[in-house]
Amino acid sequence: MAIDADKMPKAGAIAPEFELSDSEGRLRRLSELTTERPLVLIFYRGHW
Amino acid sequence: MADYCAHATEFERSGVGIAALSVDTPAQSKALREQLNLPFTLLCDQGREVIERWGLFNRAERGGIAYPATFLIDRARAVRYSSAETVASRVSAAEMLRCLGNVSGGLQLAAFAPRKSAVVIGPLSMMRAIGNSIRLGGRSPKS
Repeated sequence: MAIDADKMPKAGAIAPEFELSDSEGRLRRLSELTTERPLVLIFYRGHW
Repeated sequence: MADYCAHATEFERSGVGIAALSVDTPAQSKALREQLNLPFTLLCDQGREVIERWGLFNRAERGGIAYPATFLIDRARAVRYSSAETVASRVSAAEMLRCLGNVSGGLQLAAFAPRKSAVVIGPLSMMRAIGNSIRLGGRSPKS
């Protein structure tokens, strides 16, 4: 198994919209997080 | 994560937000956020839908987790820079900030002018991406 390079958004592409819960249980959209300023979005491994 | 946390103020000063996504539950994320005193949003992809759609689903580990990856996304939701790793590492916050510093200083920006033949993804590409993102992210006063 490996990273799926075909699916991973590349520079120049529009990042696919999503809606996910945050740590406080509120639903957050990617488009909302990028409304006011650019965003560094980090994917991390999570709880060990 | 802790690395980006330690530099959060500098990202703030650069006018860039930070959010971090994993397959953890909101409760796990909240605990981590409090434990590390993280000043940014943690997103919970328990259904693995986003990591699957973004090509970052590592099925081999712990029931399926995200590969470490970092994106710079501008206000039009366009990706300006992306980096992914198959091991537990990512481009460092210091490197990202050094690039932001280079971008905000006009003299250095000229020195780092894009090379059209460049194919290697590295700090120069990232700096250029961030510079473009900041410039293009703001609305033109005339339009």
